[in-house]
Amino acid sequence: MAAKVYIGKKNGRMGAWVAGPGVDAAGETGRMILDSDLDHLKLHQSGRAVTTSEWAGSQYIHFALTINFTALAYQPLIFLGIEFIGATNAISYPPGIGYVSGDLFADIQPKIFSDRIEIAQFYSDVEHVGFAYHVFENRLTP
Amino acid sequence: MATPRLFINGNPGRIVLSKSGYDATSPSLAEGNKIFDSDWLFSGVVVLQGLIQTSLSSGSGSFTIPFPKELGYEPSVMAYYAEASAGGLRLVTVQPAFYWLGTSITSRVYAPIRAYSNRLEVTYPAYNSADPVLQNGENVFRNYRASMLVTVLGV
Repeated sequence: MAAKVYIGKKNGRMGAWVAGPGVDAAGETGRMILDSDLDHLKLHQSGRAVTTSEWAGSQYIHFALTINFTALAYQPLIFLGIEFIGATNAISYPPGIGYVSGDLFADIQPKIFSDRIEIAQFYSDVEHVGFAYHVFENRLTP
Repeated sequence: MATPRLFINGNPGRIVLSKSGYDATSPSLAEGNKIFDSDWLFSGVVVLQGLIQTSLSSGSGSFTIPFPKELGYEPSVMAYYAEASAGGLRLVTVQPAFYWLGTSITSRVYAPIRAYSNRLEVTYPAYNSADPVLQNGENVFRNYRASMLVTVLGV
């Protein structure tokens, strides 16, 4: 019978494993909910920020936006969703992709630092653009 | 007596960790008041992450990023083209592809990424003489080392 939880020594490695549906926690393969062999996402900070914009003749200009978070010692993994408020209220993911007049554009190129995310000025047909972010304590760079 | 925050059951096996002030042994414990539940389908297992320097300049067919172990399933993958920029890391790409903005040209390189149970394979972009953008991109790809930000989730 497949074990749901396995704590102890597995082929010489001490640890704890919690298996997904149909997977044996005592085995070596399969989707694990907790896996001592691998890293896990560790949430550092999350929130939502909205750009400041103004009409620039043919489109809205969205001024540069900085999302600050408590400083880490490295550049962290982030998940960033783009929200076009008032249009479709759609969340667009991943970063680097956006929406203008039914087409896609790739002008949002967020920069990740150890204490902030910087989003440069960009244009959109949509007046209000929000960014939902999750910063994880998982390092991108050594 | 303090509210128990850890529930362990042997058969069927289950572990529940609750937030402070909430009873982990309660069958009606709300999801939002849990820190961990072994019945979840995912709790943040990361197979692989980091910035990977690619090396397709030789024009070989593909390159491989091995996983730390055989998973027994094909995992979810997020990959971006990324480059160092003024002390930060700039995310450029859309998934699952490379996107290159050169200094004098703007070109795209689509490099399909395929996940296997023990590795990722990034395929060298196909040459297409009818597509000058791709052709241009391929030349850029051939001549420069790109970096790719990869996150492989254990789900």
